[in-house]
Amino acid sequence: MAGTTLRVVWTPGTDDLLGICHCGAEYLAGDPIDVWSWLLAHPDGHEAAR
Amino acid sequence: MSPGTEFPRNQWYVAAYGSEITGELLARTICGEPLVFWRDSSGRAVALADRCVHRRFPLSQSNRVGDTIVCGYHGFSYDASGTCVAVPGQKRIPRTARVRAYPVVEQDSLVWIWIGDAEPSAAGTIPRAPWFAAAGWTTVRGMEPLAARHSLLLDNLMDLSHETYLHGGYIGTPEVADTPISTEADSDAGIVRVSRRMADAACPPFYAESTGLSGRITRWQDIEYHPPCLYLLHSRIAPAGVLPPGNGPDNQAFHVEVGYALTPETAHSAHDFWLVARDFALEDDGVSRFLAESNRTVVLQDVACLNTLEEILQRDGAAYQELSINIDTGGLAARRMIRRQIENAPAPGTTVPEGAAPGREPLAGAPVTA
Ligand SMILES: [Fe+2]
Ligand SMILES: [Zn+2]
Repeated sequence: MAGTTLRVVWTPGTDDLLGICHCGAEYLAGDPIDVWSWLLAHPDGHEAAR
Repeated sequence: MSPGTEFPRNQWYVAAYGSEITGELLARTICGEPLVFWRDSSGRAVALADRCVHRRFPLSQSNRVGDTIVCGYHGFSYDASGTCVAVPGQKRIPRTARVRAYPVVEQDSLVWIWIGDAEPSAAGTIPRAPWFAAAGWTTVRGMEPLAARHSLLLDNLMDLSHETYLHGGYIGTPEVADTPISTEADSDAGIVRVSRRMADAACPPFYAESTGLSGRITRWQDIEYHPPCLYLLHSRIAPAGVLPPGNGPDNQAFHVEVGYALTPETAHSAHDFWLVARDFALEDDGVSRFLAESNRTVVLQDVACLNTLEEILQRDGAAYQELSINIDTGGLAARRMIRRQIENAPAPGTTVPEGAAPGREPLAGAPVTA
């Protein structure tokens, strides 16, 4: 169910983690705690990111 | 913050392989609860608390008589439901004379047991792994005792980049470094997925020797973790560039289904069940031996590493700030789902909701900043 799926894409060798929320908003983070915190904060801060 | 010693209750856990449960009494501690297992005359697997209510003598060290266990100390007799059906020297059986019986479900060669005080969630909610028992697959497997907590094993399995360092020469290869890794936390389904799909990679010995492929390969690693117990790794190996056809069977590829069941024994130890199923060379004993020996070697490398970490965590205590980097993305998602299962544990006698309610909680392992 895409409705509750939060996704993080990472290419090893690079430093960025791309967080993709179920709402479509995306966010580039530098560490996994940052990226999950942002994803779990939905909808806070997700409108601006889109 | 260190990997915790807590584990969720009111969950299904793998307690044994079906073939381990026979007419003989088997003692095994699951989630801190000493249990005795056996198979009754109808073929049903039975799990009871491994303590006589009278003086706590272990029923596993007692005698099975038909479908009852007769305590080896004073002769209290229990049937498969845990009800005491005879006590020595008197006719009246005290009403409180019963041992706890645990719900058991046997499927896919695994014996699952419900640990908790709430009503068990429906057997249909137990994750499936049909290849471990299905025709068209050959499985090798084992179980290693782990003197380390459940969460350390979880951390280990959720990040396969450790293959390069801990398991060099077995399953690690260099291409891992330029392949994007996608991590998904699906809170409705209660699954964490970590996928790494290498289009053009070297073939590690584990797969070269078992499949006979010698050139470059397309290698997919799709992890599917069903907290708290079942970890599945769907591995697809094909000659480089060979992708599954749009329709029809994916018969130009080799499929290996790896499984782990991570079952806490105590707060500081676990049962590390491992299985490797394949859909090729089904009758080839040489391939079976090779895969079993290789995988067991790899598991024992993990066990040695995690046993060391457990000793260190106990010696050093919890007062250190854990550092997480990008490779820990999947592990942190898994920890968060476990944390949520611990916090959402229902009160005794109630029913577990299907799928945890979506909500916002702090990420387990994250420093509290707000
Ligand atoms: Fe490992
Ligand atoms: Zn969002």
